[in-house]
Amino acid sequence: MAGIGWRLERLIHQGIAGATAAYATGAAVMALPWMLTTAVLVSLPVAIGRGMADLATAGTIVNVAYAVALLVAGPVQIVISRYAADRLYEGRIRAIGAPFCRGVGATFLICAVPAAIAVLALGLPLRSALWGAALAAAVGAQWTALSVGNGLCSPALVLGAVGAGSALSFILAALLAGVAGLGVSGYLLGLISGQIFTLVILLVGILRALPADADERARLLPAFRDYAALAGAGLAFNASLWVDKLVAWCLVGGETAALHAGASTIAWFSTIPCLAWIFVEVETAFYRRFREFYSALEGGAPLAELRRGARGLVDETARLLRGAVSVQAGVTAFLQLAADPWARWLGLPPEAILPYRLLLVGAGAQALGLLGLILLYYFDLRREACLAAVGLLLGVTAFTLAASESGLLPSVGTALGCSLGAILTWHRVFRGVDAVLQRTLLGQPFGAERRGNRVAEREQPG
Amino acid sequence: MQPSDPSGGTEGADVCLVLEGTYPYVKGGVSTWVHDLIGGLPEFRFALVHVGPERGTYTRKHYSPPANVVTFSDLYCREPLARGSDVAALERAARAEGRRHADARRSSRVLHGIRRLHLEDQVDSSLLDDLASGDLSVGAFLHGRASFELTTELCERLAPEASFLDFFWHFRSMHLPLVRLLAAEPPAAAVYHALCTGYAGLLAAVWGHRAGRPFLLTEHGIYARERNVELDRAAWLHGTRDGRRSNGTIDSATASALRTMWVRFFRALARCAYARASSVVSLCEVNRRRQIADGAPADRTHIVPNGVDVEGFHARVRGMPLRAAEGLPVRVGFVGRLVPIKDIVTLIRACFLALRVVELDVRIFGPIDEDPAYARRCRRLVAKLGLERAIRFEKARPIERIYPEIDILVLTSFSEGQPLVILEANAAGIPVVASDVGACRELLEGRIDADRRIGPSGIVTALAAPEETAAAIARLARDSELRRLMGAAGQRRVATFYRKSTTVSTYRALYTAGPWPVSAGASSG
Repeated sequence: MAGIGWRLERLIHQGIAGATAAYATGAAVMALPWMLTTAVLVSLPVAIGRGMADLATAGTIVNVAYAVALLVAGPVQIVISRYAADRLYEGRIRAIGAPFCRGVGATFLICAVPAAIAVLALGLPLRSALWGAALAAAVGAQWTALSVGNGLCSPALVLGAVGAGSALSFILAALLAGVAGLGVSGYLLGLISGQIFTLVILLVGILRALPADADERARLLPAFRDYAALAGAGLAFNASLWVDKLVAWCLVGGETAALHAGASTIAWFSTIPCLAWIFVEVETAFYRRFREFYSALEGGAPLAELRRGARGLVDETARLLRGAVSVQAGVTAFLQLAADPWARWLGLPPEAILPYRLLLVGAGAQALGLLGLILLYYFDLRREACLAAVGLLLGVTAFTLAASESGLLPSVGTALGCSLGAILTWHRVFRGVDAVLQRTLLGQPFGAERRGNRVAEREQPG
Repeated sequence: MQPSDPSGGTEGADVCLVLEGTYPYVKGGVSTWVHDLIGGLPEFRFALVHVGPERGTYTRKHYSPPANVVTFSDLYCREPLARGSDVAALERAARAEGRRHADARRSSRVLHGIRRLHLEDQVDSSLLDDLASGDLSVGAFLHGRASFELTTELCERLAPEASFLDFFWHFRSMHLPLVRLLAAEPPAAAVYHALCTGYAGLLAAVWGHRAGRPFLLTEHGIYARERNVELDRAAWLHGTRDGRRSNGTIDSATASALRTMWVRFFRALARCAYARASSVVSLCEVNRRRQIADGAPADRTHIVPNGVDVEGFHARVRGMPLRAAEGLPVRVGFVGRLVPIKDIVTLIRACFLALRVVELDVRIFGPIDEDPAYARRCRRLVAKLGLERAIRFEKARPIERIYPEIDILVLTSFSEGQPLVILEANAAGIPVVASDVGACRELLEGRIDADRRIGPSGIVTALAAPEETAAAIARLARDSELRRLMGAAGQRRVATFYRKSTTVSTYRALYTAGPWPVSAGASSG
């Protein structure tokens, strides 16, 4: 989001510690949801005890709560963060506060209700449904706050909130479940308390960054209509992260599906360096070039200068792609080489290694696809972004399905689907950036209050 | 062409009059002329098409069209914002249109025509064919790739140093009316007649071309040049001196380039109308020469001066008591709208100077609602010069309550066609002091030898010259015999050369003349 770039640059210029903080912020913003999901699922047996009977119940509740939060709150986060970014760009910062608070409130509701319904639908008791609802609401609201807070608050506050909340979650969960003997309820209570702690810190930071005299009349609802395509893109992309597991579970089931899910979860960790790099580069170097181009356009630059600026944006986009590919390729190559010892260390069976190798490729492709989507958002190519994300979702679904049906490993299809989806996304990115000037201007309505056209339209001679 | 039987069917009109920003919505000389022309030709059926900026600009008709107007339609250069629509709604609609057209590579003949308007001086049949093709929708123009490519090509060639954003919006503003108007269905008519060049002139030319019907062009002023004056005065085209931009301003390089583009565009529209017109009519020799200089074929130009219904005028004016001049100060009158183009400021300054040497009673008759700010400026100037008792502002009145009350008419306009007030004043036997614009010199000194032999009916002065105007006013004010002689010459001149009946009969002849000469823009299609 606009606003964080200069803070990141300042951090990077402070040396290794600052750069580390900057990239850690990137990692937190880009990967926190599923990192937390994985960490919670992994920590469950440790905290509750492997032998406890309700371990499976706790796993189901956590899985459902995080899945619902990711899927349902994802589009809301995209809309709210985009709304806030646009108001920041326009200098209408007073119009952020009230819609943001309403958005967080709405996230509570729209996460809690489906999570409760989903848990009940899986045959768990009402008490479990209430825990699931509470966890989904806390996590969804926290991610929504994070999506806005990363642009309005300092990286230190974001990192501090996430770090402190996560630590508190695990400590309280372990204490309440293990030491106090409260079992699943204690574990969930501790987990939720930590997540709410993060949420509170983020909310305080955001509201402090906003002016006290908020514009109470500002409305968020129209933004859902304006950014519907972006919300669709967010939903489709988040769904694409889960759909392969669902397909594998439905079609092949059993151990193969479990191996696929486990390998996929671990493989996704390979994208953290790339996602952190993407976040920092997009918010700093790319954003600078992006602003230069639009400042030149609005400042009255001649056509030749704008064409140079547009070529610069294409070059910058290509540089981002090359950089992301390099970082991801380096990590993937290292993890491919270290796949056997790494799998043994994690306790994965030997038959999980091939899916893991394949899903490393798939995860890398998906990270690159995410970078493409972010750039499409930047250039306001909403429909393109939506189509690209839906393409990615359909690609992963179709290829995983085809591979599963044809007796191949589901991960073969997932890797192919992710790769194809990423290629198609980048095709759209370059097509859009190549024509950035044309698309920017041809998308302008005739009659809107814009500097330049206002006088030309109203005072034309004749 | 023969006029239709008034009792006949309604399949098309005899004459389609294409008007822009005038009759029946705006009071003034041209509107009165149109009304009188239609009323004077009851045997012709007229279809009127009025081109306005956008719906809602004109709401009140100041004239009731005569019975021989069979159809009346409004066309608009722009579509106003729908009630309640906000920027977000417009942006959604624009994005939808953009998706429809952004990747369409196919160019259009209209775009090709627009390109030629800007890059070529020659007007031929193929250019009008292109413009008449109507193959460009508003959506494709605003959001189409081909349109954008033309924008960039023209920017590179015409304004490479200008702000592209400003060029883009001006390109849209300039051509959107064209695209909208060219897509309109013309009323069926035997003759298309435009009263100016510009958008209306081009539209009538294209309609005539498309239908294979004659096109007649009458210009009271010279539209392209009037737009030049407007552009010179337009604050929105004044660049900042230091080249820096702030909200709502443009840098001087951009201002200069855009101004040049607008000027060329209006000249190109005029060239198209001149080339297609079977007859190009002006009110006076000065304007005829300007038309020729702007591209009108000399052999197709005609002068048809405005006229006065002399008998009717005399009946109205003679019925009113004339001023008893003896012992009273000479009364100087101005009759017209209080707008900058009439340069009332020069009139006030001239009267201020003349009042130093002669006693005067000055009356400014006219509506102030068109430019209240300018009217206030004039009043402030009068107050500042301490002339409140000598110069009075009066509301518009019927002519029979104006001309019997004045001794000298003064007209200090920056621009005029053939001012009706001079004809009326002369018809009333009142001498005139007028600036040397439009047909003023012809009206006061004569156009042809027979006319000149009548003698001057007033004094012509330089433009924006208060001293010279003051001297002329003082000369007439001091010399009652000169006023009488000039007044008599004016009455003779109007009665001989400027009768409305002559004007109407000339247009009857123009409408019924046939076969019409084939113009440069005529096509078989």
